[in-house]
Amino acid sequence: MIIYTPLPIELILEGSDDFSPEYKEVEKDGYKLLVEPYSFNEGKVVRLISSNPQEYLKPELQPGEIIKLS
Amino acid sequence: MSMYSRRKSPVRRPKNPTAPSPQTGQETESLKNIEKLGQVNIPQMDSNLHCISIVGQIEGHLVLPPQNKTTKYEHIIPQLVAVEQNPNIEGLMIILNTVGGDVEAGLAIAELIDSLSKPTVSLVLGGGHSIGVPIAVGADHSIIAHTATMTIHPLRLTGLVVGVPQTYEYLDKMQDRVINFVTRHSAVSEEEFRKLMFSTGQLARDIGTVLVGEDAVNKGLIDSIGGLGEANAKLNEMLNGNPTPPGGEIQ
Repeated sequence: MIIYTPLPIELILEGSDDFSPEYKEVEKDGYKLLVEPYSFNEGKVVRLISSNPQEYLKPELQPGEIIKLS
Repeated sequence: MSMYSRRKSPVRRPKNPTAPSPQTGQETESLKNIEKLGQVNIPQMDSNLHCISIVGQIEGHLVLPPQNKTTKYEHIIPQLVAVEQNPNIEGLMIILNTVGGDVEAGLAIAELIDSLSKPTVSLVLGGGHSIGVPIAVGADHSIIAHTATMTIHPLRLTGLVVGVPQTYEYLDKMQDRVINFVTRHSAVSEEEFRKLMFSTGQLARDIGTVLVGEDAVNKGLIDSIGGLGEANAKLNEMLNGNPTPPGGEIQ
């Protein structure tokens, strides 16, 4: 993998040693999502797992959105 | 009691008492907006254009640590497929403020933007550096703001010692992919682009060139100078049937 950027690589990779996010796969309203636990009963969307491209346009499923789990 | 009079009766039991009334629904929506965006009212309208912003680092096969703002290709790519398929979307605006990122992911996005059959306009604001350059020129028409910059510099594996000739060869090949894409989709010649890439005396830590607004247009990299209004006008012009050759105009 080559990162092509004017930024120094140290800046980009800073903290990558102790960066180990824990993702969880959940079903929410029929969508399969990979979420990062955010707080109790809440998760941050990391990615949507779907073969329907139209679902990727939904604002509530964008990466970074906070969703209620269960 | 007839059906008619029953329906007209003033007291109606709601079908679903737990469902929020439209008003409370609106209130929670406004509350959410305040929390997320710091503003109350977001006027709702259906647009025939779709806007994708490419910000921060373009994340490739490696998840970057959280201090990076990233654009995730696994989400942008299906979005572009959706834009191509959705009959309600007639044009695409790509807003760039990126510091570059993964070569493969950046080129993948650039190729998809280029091969999209609907009109596309890219707008470089702030910065469209490194791998942001192919994404910007991949659109049918590219626009750069007066103050926006684009850094053009060679590809390298930072932190690794280039020890064997094969590594050179590999990096050269990767670099050629970027150069080929850019020269195929903009008016800049390969020779000129390489000259920009390897020029010295502009960057403190690197070789390369920083093109500010008009410079990028003069070099033929970007089609025109402007902002949001110009980008929107251009898209509308393209939608209304005015001919613009795909892949940028050759000047």
